[in-house]
Amino acid sequence: MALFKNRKVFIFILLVVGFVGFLLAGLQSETNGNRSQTVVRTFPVVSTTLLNGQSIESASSLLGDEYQLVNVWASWCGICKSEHSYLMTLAQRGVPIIGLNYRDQQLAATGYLKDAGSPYNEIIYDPKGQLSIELGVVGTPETYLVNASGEVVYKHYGKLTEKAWQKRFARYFDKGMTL
Amino acid sequence: MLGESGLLALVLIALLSSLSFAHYGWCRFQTKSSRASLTFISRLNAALATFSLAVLASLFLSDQFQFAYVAAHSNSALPPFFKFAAVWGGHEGSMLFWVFTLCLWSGLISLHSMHQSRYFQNVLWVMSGFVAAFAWFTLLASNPFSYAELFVSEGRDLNPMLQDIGLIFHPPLLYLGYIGFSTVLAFALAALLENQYDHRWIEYCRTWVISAWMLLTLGILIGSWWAYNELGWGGWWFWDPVENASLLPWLTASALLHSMRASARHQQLKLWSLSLALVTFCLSILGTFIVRSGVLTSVHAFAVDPTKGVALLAILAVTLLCSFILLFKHSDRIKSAQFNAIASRGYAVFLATGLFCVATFTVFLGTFYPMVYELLGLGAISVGAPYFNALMLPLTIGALLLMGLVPYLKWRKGSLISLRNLVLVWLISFAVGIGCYLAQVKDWQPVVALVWGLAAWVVSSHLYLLWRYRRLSFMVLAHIGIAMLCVGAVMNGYHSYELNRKMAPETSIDIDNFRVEYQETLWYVGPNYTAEQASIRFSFEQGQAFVVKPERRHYQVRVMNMSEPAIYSTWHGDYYVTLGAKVDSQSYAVKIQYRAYILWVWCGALLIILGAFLPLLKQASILTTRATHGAIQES
Repeated sequence: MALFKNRKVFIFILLVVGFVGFLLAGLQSETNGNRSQTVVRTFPVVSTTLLNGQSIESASSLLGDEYQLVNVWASWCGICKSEHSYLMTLAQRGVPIIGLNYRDQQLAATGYLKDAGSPYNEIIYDPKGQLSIELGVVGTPETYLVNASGEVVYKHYGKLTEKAWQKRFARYFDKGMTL
Repeated sequence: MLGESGLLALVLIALLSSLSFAHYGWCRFQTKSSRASLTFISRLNAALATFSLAVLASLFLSDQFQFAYVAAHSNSALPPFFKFAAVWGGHEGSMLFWVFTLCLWSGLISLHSMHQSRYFQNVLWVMSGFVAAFAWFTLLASNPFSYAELFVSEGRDLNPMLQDIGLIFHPPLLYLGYIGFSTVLAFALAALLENQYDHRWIEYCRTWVISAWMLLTLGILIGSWWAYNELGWGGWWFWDPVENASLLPWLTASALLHSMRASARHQQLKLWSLSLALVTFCLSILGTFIVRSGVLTSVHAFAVDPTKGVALLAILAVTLLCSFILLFKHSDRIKSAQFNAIASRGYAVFLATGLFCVATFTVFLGTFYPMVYELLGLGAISVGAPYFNALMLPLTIGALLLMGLVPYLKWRKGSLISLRNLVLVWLISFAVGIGCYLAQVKDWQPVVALVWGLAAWVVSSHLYLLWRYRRLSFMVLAHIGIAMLCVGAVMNGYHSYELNRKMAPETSIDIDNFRVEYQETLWYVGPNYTAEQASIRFSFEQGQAFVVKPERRHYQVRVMNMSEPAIYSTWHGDYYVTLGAKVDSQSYAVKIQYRAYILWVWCGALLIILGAFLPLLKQASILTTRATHGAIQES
């Protein structure tokens, strides 16, 4: 009888451990939950202007590399400022970054980059947030991983950190780069 | 300084509860002395938690954006009403609300007249364990009082989806319900902690089960109503993982309500009651884990952080292991009475409990299956409404059949009326139900007809019960409410329709027996949004007419567009109009839906909740009589 009871407890513990382990695996997994996108969004094909005043036919024509980052920022955004130095490091490592200047003033934005340096290859100027709405921007900063055909592979909310970079982005850029 | 005082209160709760938990545990199991009392600590914690929550609310009301949580969920232009609701609008605040509710419930338990007894002290001990676990979790992993990294002069605003009267009540009620089950678990565990299993725990915790269950039901109802009215989806239940997460404890708690009845009065199903009491709160924790960790894809998109999930999982695992191992240890000594006959109310209750458990398992499987599938690397899969509807329908039909039968059965054995009369009553009510249905629709569906017939059977047999005992009871109201809800749900599922049209001012379309006329577009400015409002007139052949005004709102701070549907309700269904995107300079995509019998769903649920008030009122009146009686004796 005692053995039977122990076995019952044993089976129960196994079940609980199994279930909790399963949930833990789910937590660690990268494909599950809100972080994966069920619909692949594409980079909007709309005409836009760059921060230097140049206007271009289609925003997606800026996507020259196999993979690049699109970083949403603004000079009024405090967290963007703290993220900036990390973006500079990434740029130095050779990661192509396109800036998306979001609801900002042209003078403030250029001044900001003059002081802090620019990590961006190109900068889209979007003072009314039109392109950003199309892209699905919720706030600043946000970083999108976009491939050459304009598909948004991954969207990162908030400040980009080394940890997030290693987990989500690094593998797309590891060819011929020292990361 | 205000923010710090709230934080200090939270720290005190964490320290006091964990110290007193350890101290009481030591006294209780090592020195066997019974001098330690948790009454005072429980009350103090309740006061501290209330203070802490009040501080957070005042930070919101006075726009203290130096706090990260306030900055992320509020804005100076947000109406005060919503500033207050924003307290539980995000993860950190809702965890504080968890702690507050836990403390509140345990404070309430400490007010019981027998609070100094060993049994009640054990209950408070289990509760203080939970308070400690969640207070530390809130403090270390999701502190709402932490400062923002950078100074901002303006907040990010509350998510517009949450800016609705629904938000003010939905999460707190849900939490009150969820966490209310911690008391039920504590009562059951305390009974198992005694050397001699004390059967009276069921008597003591009945009020708590019913109040927690009622609050959870109300919370789910308001959530559902909110999704229907605010989110503009036009449905009332979506089998979304987060909805399922709240349904799971609801189902086991409903089963508990049934089995408790058998345990309390007739010594039956005791182990069932204990297991259900233990599992319900575990499912509540699991629900919180699902919502907060973002492990399942859901419409409830919260800012998710996997690390927070680990802590919740740890609490879940410890609770599950401790409680069930204790139950296994005692299971041999707990003897339940046997059923006397298949045709008895006791056996029917057993079947009902079984049906609830099967339903729980069905929902559980459907909720977690996509995750298993993805983890095994088989690709993505979504288990949606078709699975749940297909499996829940036979269960519902079985439940309705059983519910209609119960009023005619005696507890021990036999029925109140003869088999011939029973079949006769069944046939008549079934025919009346189907008749009601056929009179209303042109194209009838067999499934809907079946549910109508069975619902009429449930109503007629409960009216018989009402007539026989001349007393309105929880059971009568709840079962009639369920019957109404089932009719509403199937009618809604089978007889709703929708159409999408491009409409410009001064155009109209004709549908079936009514005409829809787009009159004009209006613009106005709200407190933290701007809106376009369409004025759309419905006119029926019979001469009725009404105007609805759906809106599209643009929230500047979050740069979000929200559609505000307009609804015109009738007893047989809602006309539900959503203003879609602007198609050209003048016209909009307009979605017109007819949602059949939705009012029946709300009314059925309200009736169930109303039913739960009856035993609570009775309990309250007993308490007041006892109090006045006691006062007289003392004087």
